[in-house]
Amino acid sequence: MEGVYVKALRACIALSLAGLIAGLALKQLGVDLLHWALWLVVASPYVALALLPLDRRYRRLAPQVAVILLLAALDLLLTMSGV
Amino acid sequence: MDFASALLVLSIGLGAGFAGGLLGVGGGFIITPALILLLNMKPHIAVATSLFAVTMTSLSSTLYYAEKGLVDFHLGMMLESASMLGAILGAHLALALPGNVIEIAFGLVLGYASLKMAFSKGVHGDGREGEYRHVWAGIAASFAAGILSGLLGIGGGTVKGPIMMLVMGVPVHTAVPTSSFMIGLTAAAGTIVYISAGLVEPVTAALTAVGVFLGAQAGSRVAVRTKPRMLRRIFGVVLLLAALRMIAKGLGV
Repeated sequence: MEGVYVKALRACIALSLAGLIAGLALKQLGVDLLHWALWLVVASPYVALALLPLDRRYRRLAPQVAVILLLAALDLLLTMSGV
Repeated sequence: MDFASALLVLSIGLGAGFAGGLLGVGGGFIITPALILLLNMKPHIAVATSLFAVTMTSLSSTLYYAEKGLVDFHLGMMLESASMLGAILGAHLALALPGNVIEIAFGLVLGYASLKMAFSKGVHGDGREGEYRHVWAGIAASFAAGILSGLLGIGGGTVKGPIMMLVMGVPVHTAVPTSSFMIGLTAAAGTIVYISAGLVEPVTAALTAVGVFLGAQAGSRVAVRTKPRMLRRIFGVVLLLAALRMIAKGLGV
């Protein structure tokens, strides 16, 4: 049986690739959304991981997932605020 | 970016992805020197672009391993907390260092990795599934691998895999998929720092990432039908030359 993580990861990859290709195409037409497509790629491993505990087999890993997501959020907050 | 440069960037991504998929190495060791030596890109931007592309490569390989149920998520996340902290620190360290220091450091690490690729007979963990020893040493090594990842724009699998197998006794069929899973999280953490610092050039990064993804798909399919031992040796020598060139460039020779 395919887990939630695999489904989420597959969706994230498809969305990221589509975002990058669409971003490149739109840039040629003068619409600059490519920057947002980059964030889709960067967010992908964390989004898929956040859904991992929804799978009954990995429910006990929820605290570890929370630590990873907290670190990513802190990374984002600190770098965005220029620390 | 003109059409010829865009084509070259896409080709670098395709080549790095293909070689990575074929030889089981991350794209970072190819993308960073290629961008610096072939496109004369500034080291910081090359490292940032490479790290972004490595995130994409890892997503692709992790999907393959996760579908087969080979990723040890418990082990991966235990080590990844340290690796992510290392990557954030490494990326901030890179921002504070001059470009030539990054080139020299990259050359030294690439030199080690290329010799390992050319002459190593491979390592295998002797432990059993779910039983790991020297956990704290593994966490410390993951932190160091994270620093290298953030600093040099590589995945850090060259360090993570062998440490898991040799120090922690993780079997190879668990270590490689788990390392691949970790690399995406590590590379994304470092990339956040570089994007926020405005060092990821969107068109270059997007073209490299798309190229790497497509190249890796082709490379891993070819790898199933080939015996890459001789290829690894040849590729190891090519990377060694690139390492020497990077060191020379960093020293201004």
